[in-house]
Amino acid sequence: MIPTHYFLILSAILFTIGVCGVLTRRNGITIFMSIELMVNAVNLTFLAYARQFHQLHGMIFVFFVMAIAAAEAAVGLAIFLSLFHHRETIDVDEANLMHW
Amino acid sequence: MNLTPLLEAHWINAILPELVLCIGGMFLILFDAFAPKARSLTGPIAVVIFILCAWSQRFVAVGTFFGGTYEVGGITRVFDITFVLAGILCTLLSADYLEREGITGGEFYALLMWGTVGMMMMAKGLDLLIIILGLELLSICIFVLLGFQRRLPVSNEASLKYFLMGAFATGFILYGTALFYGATESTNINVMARWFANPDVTITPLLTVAFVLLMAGFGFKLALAPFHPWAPDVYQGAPTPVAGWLSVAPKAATLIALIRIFHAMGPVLPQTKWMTIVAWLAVLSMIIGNSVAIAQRDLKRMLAYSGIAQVGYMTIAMLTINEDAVASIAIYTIVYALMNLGAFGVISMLAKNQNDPQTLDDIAGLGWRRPFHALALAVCMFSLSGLPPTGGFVSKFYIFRTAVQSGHTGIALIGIITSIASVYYYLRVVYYLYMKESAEGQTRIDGGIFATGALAISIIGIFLIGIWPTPLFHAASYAAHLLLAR
Repeated sequence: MIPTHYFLILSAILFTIGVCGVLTRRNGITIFMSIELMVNAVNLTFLAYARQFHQLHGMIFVFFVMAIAAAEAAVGLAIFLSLFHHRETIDVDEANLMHW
Repeated sequence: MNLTPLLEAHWINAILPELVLCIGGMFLILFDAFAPKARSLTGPIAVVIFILCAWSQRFVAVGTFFGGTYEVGGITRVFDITFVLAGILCTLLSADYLEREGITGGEFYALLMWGTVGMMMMAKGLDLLIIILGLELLSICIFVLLGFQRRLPVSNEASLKYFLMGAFATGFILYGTALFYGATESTNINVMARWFANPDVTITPLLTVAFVLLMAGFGFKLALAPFHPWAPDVYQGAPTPVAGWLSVAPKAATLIALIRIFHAMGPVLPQTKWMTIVAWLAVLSMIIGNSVAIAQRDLKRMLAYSGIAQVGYMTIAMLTINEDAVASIAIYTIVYALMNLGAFGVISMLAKNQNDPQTLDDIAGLGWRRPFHALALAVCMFSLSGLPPTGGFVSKFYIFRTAVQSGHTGIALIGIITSIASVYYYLRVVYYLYMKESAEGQTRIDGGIFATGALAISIIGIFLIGIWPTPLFHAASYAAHLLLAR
């Protein structure tokens, strides 16, 4: 059996890649994909622990997290569509009407 | 996980207020679709549904439900009342605002109600899963509400900013939860509390990372510095009543969820530096919020920075979880809901959509043209700055007293000093209201009957709590006692 910490290290790496993607990319959809990567890294962590503890609890959590991510994607894509209507681009740096 | 408790008796009584709001929201959407001629009635019906929800609190069963994941008690009742109050005020303000802006659609109020359900789940959740589900239900409703004026680019931009930052923050909360699950083998707060209470427990660096991730996520939802930069932009771009609601209710829900989590961690907090992190967040919020607010001329941005500072005050009380701390936060959130929604209410009546900034010049000389609306704004500003005899004074005093009694004198002192500095920008609004001449071509104030009613509720509430706070204090202290007695 593969030791649990292998999965944990992999998920930590995936999460970090996701965070870096959010911070460096400027295309709205790419940022959103990076956030999805973070969420999936979390799912991997939950599954690894659930396997180690022989619990269903962590696996049920994963189902809910997937449902949350799907709901967020539905609303998020509508927001990007609306942004595209206004600006003809989904570059988030272009969304700069408000400054202090 | 044992699934049979789902069928336990009285479960319907446990979630009665949530059921009322869920069904009420669906009814409003159908009503809007099938009776388009009676659209002007959706606002009043929404208020009635909120009042029904408050009334249904009488029949709520107290206890733990759904396999130990959902706890209903005195403190959740106090917070439910806060959420419903914020919902009613926002609905009343929106009824006139939406008509003026030409927005139709019963889904506006439905989203407000479902967001309130999410907050109730956060307040009652005894499992991190329930808290996160409530948080997401709330967040998704907020994304849509912020972008509700989709023809306006700023509204869309506010929605985009909150969406990206909110989804990012949720990722942090989830990862923090996963790491805590790895240590405690459960996401149930009571089971976690038992694990933390074990004297042999060692705090690994991984747990500290988990706590930092959790605080980063919740700090974003609370608009605590340094996670605050979204707040001014989002408030400025959002429909004004929604901005008022957003600045009040989700913060209250996040605070009560954090109180539960901190209480569970209580036994290990002395051997960690976790509360030092929280203290720094509070100090930064108070300093940044109050000093940047001075530089703002846009009223909504000023209130956004003032909100950052106000959350800083509430966070001070959370540094040590005891009865006084919980009670003072509960009272502060109620008063904050009244005064902040009142202030946003007056701004929402300025006959200007949010594409143009609503600045101090728009309210110059208002005291002589519209005495009642000016008075409401002035009372809210006095209360926000914490001057007696308003509710703001009482609640702020209680917060700082709790902090000093728990031994956080230095931080309380920073709070008091920054709070004195804040009087400058709050009273500058009053100065513009009464001492400035109104220029030609002044912005009109369009206050309908509903919005004026909301302002009246705010003023009465602020003075009632300011002059006669004893019943509320007793109720909150008793509720806090029950929460912590476990």
